[in-house]
Amino acid sequence: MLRPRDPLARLARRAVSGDRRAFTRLYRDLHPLVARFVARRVDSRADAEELVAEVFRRVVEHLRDFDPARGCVRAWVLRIARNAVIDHYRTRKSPVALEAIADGLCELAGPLDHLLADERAARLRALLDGCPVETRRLLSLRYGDGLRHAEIAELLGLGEAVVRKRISRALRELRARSRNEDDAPEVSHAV
Amino acid sequence: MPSEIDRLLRLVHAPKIEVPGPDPELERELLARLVGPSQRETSSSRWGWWGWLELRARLAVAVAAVLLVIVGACVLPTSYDVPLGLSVEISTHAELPHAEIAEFVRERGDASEVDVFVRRSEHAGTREQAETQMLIRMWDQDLAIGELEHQLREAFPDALRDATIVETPLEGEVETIWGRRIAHRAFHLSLREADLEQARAQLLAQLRAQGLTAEQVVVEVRDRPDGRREIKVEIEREASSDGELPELSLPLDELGPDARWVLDPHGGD
Repeated sequence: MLRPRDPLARLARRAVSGDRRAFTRLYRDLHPLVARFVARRVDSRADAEELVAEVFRRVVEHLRDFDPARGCVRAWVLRIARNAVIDHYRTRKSPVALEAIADGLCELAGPLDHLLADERAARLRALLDGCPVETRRLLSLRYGDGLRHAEIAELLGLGEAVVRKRISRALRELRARSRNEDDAPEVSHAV
Repeated sequence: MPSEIDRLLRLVHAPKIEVPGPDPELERELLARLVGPSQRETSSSRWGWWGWLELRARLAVAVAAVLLVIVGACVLPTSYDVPLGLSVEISTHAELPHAEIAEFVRERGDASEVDVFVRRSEHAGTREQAETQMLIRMWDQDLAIGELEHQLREAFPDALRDATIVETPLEGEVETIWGRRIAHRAFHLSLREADLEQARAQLLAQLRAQGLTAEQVVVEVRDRPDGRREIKVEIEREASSDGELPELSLPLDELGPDARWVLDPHGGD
């Protein structure tokens, strides 16, 4: 299958050959992706900063090994970030499920929790809790980490069409269940 | 446009902590790790030696590409009008001193070549109605229009008193390439002789097609660059309605003592 050309792969190749400007651009292009991915999986800003730095150190360390034929740069960096998150919790000997954390499925309390006071958001959260883990993982990567279908596919080892279809089906079901809940009477009427 | 469920999904999955921004210190550290200490020192001047070489190579390729495009564009064919000279047509019912007028024009010296044609239209038995037309073609690219009429009237006041004098520019189409056209326009480089000759030949063909088909007599006086004068007479006799050929009267000796007559072998005698 033909792959669209990855501009970041070109930057990576130039960075490896010592082009400082190419590396600066690569770092600045990838930083928001990595920072958001990490920030969704840790519970303090200090941990997030430390982990982001660790992810980029690993990126630099392995940049020469990056093979554009095996995937795009963003997915490659996200795999590194995911492993870094798992390592982070492993060293803390935290009782949380590492895979759940790494896939953004484990919710952590934080200052934005008040947003969930929104009744509709809370209802959606409840609906999501009832979804299969696979569906929650896909939605988390899509809407939480802002990944493209192709990147999610690469990260999870699935086909892009499969990811697209599953996300579309999940959204359809969420909409339908949300509508059913809206239509249901809130109070039973007793005569 | 994102739907309500999209918005809610983003809200539900939003990070619970503030997302850290890029860290310049980390960026510097990573750069140091990537390029290593030896390269760091050599690249203190922003580009480094290899960067400078690469920049020069890219610049050279870009310049070569631009030159290639320019050269390619310059050899594309084009055509445009150029001034070739001036045509002066004198028409009168009086006798014209052709030779003197031709000599006067030639001696002005502002044209590199002068052609003179004389045509006398005369119907049988109506000599008073005869009209003489003198056509002077002056070939040069820098001739000013509107000057010669005044000078001729001043030099030959009696002969040209009732004459009509019309000056028209002679323009020809030069078929060339864009490179020569631009050079000609921008740097005032003279046109190639071959281009000019070609343009003139085309113009003459057009002029012949337009007007020199019905004349009865054409006398051509041509001053050659070597100083010699060549005079060529073409006589075409048109039969009248009763089949008789009209009588022709030609003031040939008026052309001057230096004239050498060349009778067109295809014309009448």
